[in-house]
Amino acid sequence: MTRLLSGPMIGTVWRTRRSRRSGFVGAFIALFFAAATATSAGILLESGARAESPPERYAGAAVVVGGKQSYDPPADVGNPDAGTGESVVLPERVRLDRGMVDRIARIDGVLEAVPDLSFPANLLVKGQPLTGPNGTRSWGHGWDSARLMPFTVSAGRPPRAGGEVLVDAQLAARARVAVGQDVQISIHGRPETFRLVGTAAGGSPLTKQAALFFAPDEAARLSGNPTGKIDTIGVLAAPGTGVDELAARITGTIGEDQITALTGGQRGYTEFLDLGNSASNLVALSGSFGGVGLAIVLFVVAATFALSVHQRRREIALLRAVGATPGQIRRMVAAEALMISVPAALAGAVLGIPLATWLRKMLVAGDMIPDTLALHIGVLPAVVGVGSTVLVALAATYVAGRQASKASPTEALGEAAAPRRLIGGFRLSLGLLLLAGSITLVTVSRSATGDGAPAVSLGLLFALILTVVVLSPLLVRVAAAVLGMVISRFSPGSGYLAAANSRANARRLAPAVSTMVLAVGFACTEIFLQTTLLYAAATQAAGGSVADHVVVGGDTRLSPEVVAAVRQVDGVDAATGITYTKVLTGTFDDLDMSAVPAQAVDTDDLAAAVDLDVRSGDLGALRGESVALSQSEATVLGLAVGDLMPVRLGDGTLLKVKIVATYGRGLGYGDVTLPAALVAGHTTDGLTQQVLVRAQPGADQQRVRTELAGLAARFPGLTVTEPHEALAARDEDQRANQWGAFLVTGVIVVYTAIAVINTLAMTTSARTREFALLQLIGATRQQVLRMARWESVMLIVTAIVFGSVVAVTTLVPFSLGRAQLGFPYTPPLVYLGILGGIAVIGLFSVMLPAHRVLRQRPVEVAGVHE
Amino acid sequence: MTRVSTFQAAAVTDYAILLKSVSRVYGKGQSAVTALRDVTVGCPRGSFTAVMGPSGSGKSTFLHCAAGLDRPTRGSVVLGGVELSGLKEAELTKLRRERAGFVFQAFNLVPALDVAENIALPLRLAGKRVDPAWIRQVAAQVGLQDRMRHRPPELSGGQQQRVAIARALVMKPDVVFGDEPTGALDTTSGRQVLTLLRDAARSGHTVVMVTHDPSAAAMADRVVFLADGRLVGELEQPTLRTVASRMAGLGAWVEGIEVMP
Repeated sequence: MTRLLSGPMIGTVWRTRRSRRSGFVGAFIALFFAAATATSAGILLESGARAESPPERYAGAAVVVGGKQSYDPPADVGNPDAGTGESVVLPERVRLDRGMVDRIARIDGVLEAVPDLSFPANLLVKGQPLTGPNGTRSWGHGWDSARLMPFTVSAGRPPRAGGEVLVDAQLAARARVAVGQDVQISIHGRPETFRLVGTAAGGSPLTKQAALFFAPDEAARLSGNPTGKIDTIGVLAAPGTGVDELAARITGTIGEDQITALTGGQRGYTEFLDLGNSASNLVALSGSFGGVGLAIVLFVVAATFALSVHQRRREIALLRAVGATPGQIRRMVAAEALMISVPAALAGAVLGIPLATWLRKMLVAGDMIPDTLALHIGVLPAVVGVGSTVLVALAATYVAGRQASKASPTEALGEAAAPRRLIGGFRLSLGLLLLAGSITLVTVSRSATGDGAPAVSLGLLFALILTVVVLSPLLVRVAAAVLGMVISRFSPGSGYLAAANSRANARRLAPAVSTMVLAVGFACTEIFLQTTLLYAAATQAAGGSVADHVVVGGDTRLSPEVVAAVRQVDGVDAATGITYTKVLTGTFDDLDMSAVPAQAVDTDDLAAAVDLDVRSGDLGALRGESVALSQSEATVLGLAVGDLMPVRLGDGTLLKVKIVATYGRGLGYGDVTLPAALVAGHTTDGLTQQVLVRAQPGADQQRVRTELAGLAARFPGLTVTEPHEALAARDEDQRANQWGAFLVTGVIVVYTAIAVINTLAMTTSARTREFALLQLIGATRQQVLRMARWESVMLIVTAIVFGSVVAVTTLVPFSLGRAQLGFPYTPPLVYLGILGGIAVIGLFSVMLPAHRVLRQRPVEVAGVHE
Repeated sequence: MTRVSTFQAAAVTDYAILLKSVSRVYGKGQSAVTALRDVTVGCPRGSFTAVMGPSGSGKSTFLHCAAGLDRPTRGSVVLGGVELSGLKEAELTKLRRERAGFVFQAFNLVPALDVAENIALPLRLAGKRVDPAWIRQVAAQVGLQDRMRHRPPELSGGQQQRVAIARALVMKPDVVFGDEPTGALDTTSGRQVLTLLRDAARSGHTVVMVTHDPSAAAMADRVVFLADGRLVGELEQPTLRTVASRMAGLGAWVEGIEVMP
């Protein structure tokens, strides 16, 4: 045992840092941006988790009680204390029994429990439905709930009898209607006439809705639930009661598996369900952003440290020669990692704030989250960002340090030392093992067909990239040998040198090539995963479209009764209404369920109006408690036609249904198809999005279309479009939904690009002496630059080839399985853009440092003056 | 006052290398350092000249100026009959490639290339045809014909220096410059290298070598002594004894060991 402690080594680190600036700067940059990425992901995550949703109509309620908007299966059936499994957000309103109002009213501290009902109600102006401000929804309620804001009558009087309505003052102003006038209102998509008896205003103007108030009994009738259910309960507290304490008491009394009782800035979650959805989407998005980001960071930082240690082998060998033990070398490298990573991570965490601000702005611009979702900049994300970055640095250093400590003291004695093996036995076996593992994952990915397929693909991507990283010296050597032959022929001087250098320095180039492969592989895989999914959905939707006309309702949607009316139109052969929702699917063996896109359809004419590409069973049997599944969903669940399965509707209602058919076009039309009757009453608004119409053979299409459009008089807001227009609109929506994923992918791709610039610049900057020697023995500056250019061309081609192989290997099983396409959809311009990007980055990050290196006079660098 | 070289009288073209009144000043103003002061030296074709002097005497600057690696502040350098001042950097590089060969103390070779490729490298850089027979012949001159496919890390330090000499000779240059070519070698290897350099001079190449080792200098035809940037003496047909005593007179530490800075 040596008596030297690590102290003197740390001193050495500090004093010698100047001499390896390029390595230190490189590591600093990699860690700086790593911390920025991690911190911004953390900030977004915390913002999503803590997002406040200020209430509007419930601003005056102390506590807002709503149904529990999530499905939380017990983790372990036998053991209720084991907590819950994976929580799934329920997308449709979970309604409450009316009896709940009295139970809550009796709770201590409750002054009054006020029930609220919401149903779609749009004021009609010249027959056209009026939405809320900025295209938001317009809802009808009972006047008794007006107390919760509270609204006060600003003109006229409150509605007291059937046929009377009071509207919010802003709506009245927009509609230019006056008290005393008769107005047309579309209730659940059907027009009715009411007498406008008054207008009312709250403390602040409504921004996320328009409100129409009816007499309480009238509201109950209009809502379609005259006796049964209510939407929410607003609680007014007795004087002197703490709201949080009251909320806890309510939850405790009723049971937290039944209701959620929210207070303060959270109350809006019950009022606006989509806000809860977008907040949890933000949590999911930033979670995967942070997770994928950190995995990428681990690769990048590992490559950077490996490079920096590799470049200092001689110096480390010298330290070994003068008596440093391998352990001391490891500690020295770890000390360096700490010395660099702590300031880098702290500075990066600061950058994380503007990055998160920018990302939020982009997500708002893409309508992924509402502008009201404010950024919550807390200490925790920065702490986690800094901590994880430092941990990643130390982990990466552990590997690099092991390599470094193996340096033999004799290597200090110049170039006479034995050349190192290209790749160690351990590394080679590890690489082959990883390769075998990746191949196994390919088959898993081929059969992963559900919503989890992209996650499996991501796993495969990382396995492949890890394989490339481990085997990189070998891969670079092979690529250099092949490309070298071509390039030497092209350019017998510089190209020949470039080829020889790349062959001989495979180890040195390996980290840079690994990073470039990572950049190309990740960008191609993640981007083309999205484009393939979108393309498959669009192709399937188009392929299944056999309708002649599509009746749509726009923002205000359609009454389900429109289907029957459409069938009455002369020349119409078949019509089916489609309501898009989400349902939770699972099996009886497992309590966990996952949300999948679903369509509720009118079953009578289904086969005539849409071609789902039936694979087994019969869609004609889709009646009553039955369901049809996409082939991929059936595979995921391991179920077949004739099996029974549990389905939870969007509001959590549990059904036991029989599978009657499977079909191929799941991405285009949703993985689950169920009869509209099953879903009726279990969606928030009870409306239908569109009706697919098939005309009789030989019918006059123009006339059919005109007659369909004429239904707008009975169904306000109805329009008729061509199927291709409806498909285009759907594509647009789907693309908008992918915006967040594209955005975070873009940020990570930019990070990998920075990493590529970084490692290449480090690799080139370390070649001062080599460039000088070449000049001294007669190479002109131009020749050295040409050599560097040829080398970077070889690196770029190598990275493009291996990166594309990684991407194709990841994407083909995915497109065969989930997307049911023979080959992933890769828009050539996007692919060329990625290749062009890596080529430009590759050339610049080699050539700029090369120019800088060549500015030094060769005699000062080479020769005796070591 | 400047000592005038005895060779000054001869015609310019008789010299493979001629420095006339060369001064080299680094930096400007207060911090200016004069490395060479008005030095005039010529080396006839086929001669073997050693340049000696204590540390900081300007011998490396002398070599760099002579070889066109550095540009004098004043004076002129004629290499193989060509005046170097006024040449552009690329022209200078090409001239150097054709007319001058280099052997440094260490790190002479491109590690990515094997022995034959290292020797042939100047030819390739000049865009000339590589004749394998010629490469073999040059390698044989330095006794490495059996090591053609070895890479530098697989060679001893002496072998590496011999490869460097072969590479310096491959272009048939006017002058071979050596910057402490034996500085990192043991006595036996150093002796081999010096013998090769002397053989090169005998076969018509001019050799100019900077050294601090009197026994190395004693292998040369002539030694010129520098001190404080000035030419301070010359010795024809030197022996170890005469070189050592002259160096002792210059106050140098003549054991041939220098402490690494």
